[in-house]
Amino acid sequence: MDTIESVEEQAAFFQSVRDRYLEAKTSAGEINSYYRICDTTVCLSFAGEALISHITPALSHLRITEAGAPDLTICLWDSHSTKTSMIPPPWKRDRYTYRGDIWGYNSNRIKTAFHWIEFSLNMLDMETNTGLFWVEHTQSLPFWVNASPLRTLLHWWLEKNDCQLVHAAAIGTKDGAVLITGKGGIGKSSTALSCLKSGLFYLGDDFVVTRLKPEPFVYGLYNSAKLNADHVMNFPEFSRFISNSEDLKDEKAVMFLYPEFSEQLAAAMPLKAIIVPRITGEGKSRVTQAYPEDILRAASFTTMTLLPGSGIKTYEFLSQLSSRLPCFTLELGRDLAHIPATVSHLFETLVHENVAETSVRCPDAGESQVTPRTWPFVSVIVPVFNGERFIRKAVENILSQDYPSLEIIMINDGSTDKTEEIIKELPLEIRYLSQKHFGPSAARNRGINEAMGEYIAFLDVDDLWPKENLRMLLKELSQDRDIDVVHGYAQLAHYNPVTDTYEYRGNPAESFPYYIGAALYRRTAFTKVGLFDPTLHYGEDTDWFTRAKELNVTIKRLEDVTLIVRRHGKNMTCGKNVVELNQLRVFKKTLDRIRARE
Amino acid sequence: MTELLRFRINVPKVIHETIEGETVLVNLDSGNYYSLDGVGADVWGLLEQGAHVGGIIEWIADRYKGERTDIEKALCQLIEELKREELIVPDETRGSGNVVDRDGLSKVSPGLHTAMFVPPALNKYTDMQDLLLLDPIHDVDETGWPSTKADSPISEK
Repeated sequence: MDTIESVEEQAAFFQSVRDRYLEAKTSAGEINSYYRICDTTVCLSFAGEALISHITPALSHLRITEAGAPDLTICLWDSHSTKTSMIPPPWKRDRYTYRGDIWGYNSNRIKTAFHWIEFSLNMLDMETNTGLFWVEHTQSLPFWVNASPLRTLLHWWLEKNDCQLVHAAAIGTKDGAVLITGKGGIGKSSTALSCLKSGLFYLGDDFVVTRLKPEPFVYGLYNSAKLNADHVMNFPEFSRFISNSEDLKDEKAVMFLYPEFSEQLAAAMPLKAIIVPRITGEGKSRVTQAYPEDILRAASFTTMTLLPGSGIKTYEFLSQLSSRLPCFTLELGRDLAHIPATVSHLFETLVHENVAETSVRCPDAGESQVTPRTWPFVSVIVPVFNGERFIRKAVENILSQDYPSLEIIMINDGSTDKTEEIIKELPLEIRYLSQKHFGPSAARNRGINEAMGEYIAFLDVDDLWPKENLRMLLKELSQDRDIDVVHGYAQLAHYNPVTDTYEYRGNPAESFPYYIGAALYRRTAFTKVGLFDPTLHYGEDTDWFTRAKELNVTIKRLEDVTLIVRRHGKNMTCGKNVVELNQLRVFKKTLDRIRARE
Repeated sequence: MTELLRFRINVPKVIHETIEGETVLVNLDSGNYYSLDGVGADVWGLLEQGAHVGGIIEWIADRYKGERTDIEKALCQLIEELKREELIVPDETRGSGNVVDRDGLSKVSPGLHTAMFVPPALNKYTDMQDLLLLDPIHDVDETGWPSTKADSPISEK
């Protein structure tokens, strides 16, 4: 699963696919159109006409007349209309992922993704600046994807050009633009369209491009807007622009705003703030200040789960963006007409009070915020087996959470290396326990027994928590007494010996769902569910969560990355197959429990 | 069912382990989990060793008390079911003759006619996919590309 094909093999496959395009072009003819995208010239080179009506409408406002040599050329074709078959993929079927990444077929030079939404193959050669887009048949393209065509290829290309595609809407006034980000369904499109309706500038409702230097900037990429069918009636004035009226039962309504709204479609604007909408159900809308880290989470998770190949670069870009701009929550009321006024008022405040240059970063106090006085005590349990290389970094990581009320319990699970020596040398107070090698479950259980905290967290010595993770998890747990466990997703990071760094790999939303370290537990969760099964050296995580579910323990899943799992060849779970990972044993234990209850 | 028919376990699609006399199995393609105990677990062990159908019937009839015809019928039904669930597939690669290590099996199984024959049941669990934490398994067409005919594993974002 982790084998990476060599760059030469990747490039050879790219070349073979490109040869198929050349054949398709010979058979069906070549049609080129040129676009100016974020200060670069992009040529879309179609073999035959079949794909043109799917790809070009959303980009038509950026079209330019024929240019000289383009910066990027994307070759597009379908097998059906060009009567050109595709060569088989060189990878096995287990290389496909939901997000689109093809394991082993991504390198600094060649990017590859297969999209299930479109059944499209996307490849980009970063050295020759050539992209490939292929589908077997244009029928596989649902209409709504026409609203944001080629977004994976453009994501790779824009990243190379120091820009970042973001899952966000953007609207503006003469004073600049605001980015409206967050997962699908939270009101990005409704906000953007109601602002368009009231005369504000429009840069996009789903994907826009951002740039950091010299100042934060946003570019409009697609002139489209998408609305859920049940929201269409809220915008009757736009209904005549809907291009898929017949298919609204199954699809979102797609509108193209060019050329009718040419004057309001802004090409690029300086960014003045980032907003995450939240539907409140109240009458009026209002804006409240937000923590940059909350805004970063909202922007990065949704963006990274949608863009193949996105990783640490995307996260760091968005981290910088959210730290350089004022951050707000837009509490969306039912009255759509009130939204533009609320947003315009925010612009006025930003301009007149120059909020952008002040350091107003924290939301108003109150409303179940965790304040220093109420910080509950957290026990962080770190089992260590021969982890001498990682101990210092793990402790550093816990301390960098900047959580003032915690204890660290390290359990040396019979290490034969310098684990004990290193822990004892640490310049801070650590509760150190040592035992014979009984395995991670026994070590964690010992920690739970020793823990003094009302809340318990686990960190394996070679894993890391993202910044502010503990505060965020605690905020979630402390807001609702009924929740026993709150957990998010893990981001895999692979060690690259060439650069001596860990690179993010894959989509966190597709990671193993039961990483013990990706959660924060109420102490009482363990009295309800019991401890980890010490007979399981692997699979104890799945086993615990399965038991918790059977007992109706309340587990809240966050759409956030709450753990970074570093793969470096020595991880306990690295290279184990499903049998070795004890899934069958966990299943057997589940069966035994079900029978015991019957 | 011809008595000389032979089957093999459908690896690598199927993973299996026998724990405390119960065989637990997963079909990785469908994500379904199964369990077999008693006679069923014995049959699985015999299949794993490459026994032909006749040999399996013989072996079970030797060890369990019951009508020979009932045993034969129940075992053929079980084997049919295992086949239908794609847990086993016909094995044409082995020659004729029984290759069962009778001594090996007799160590973990009842002695001659010591236990009552209970018709074996293949228990199927279709709601255990949470336990199956592999990467998504996708359908591909004969060219190796995912096919639009197969169900897309994701809905609209």
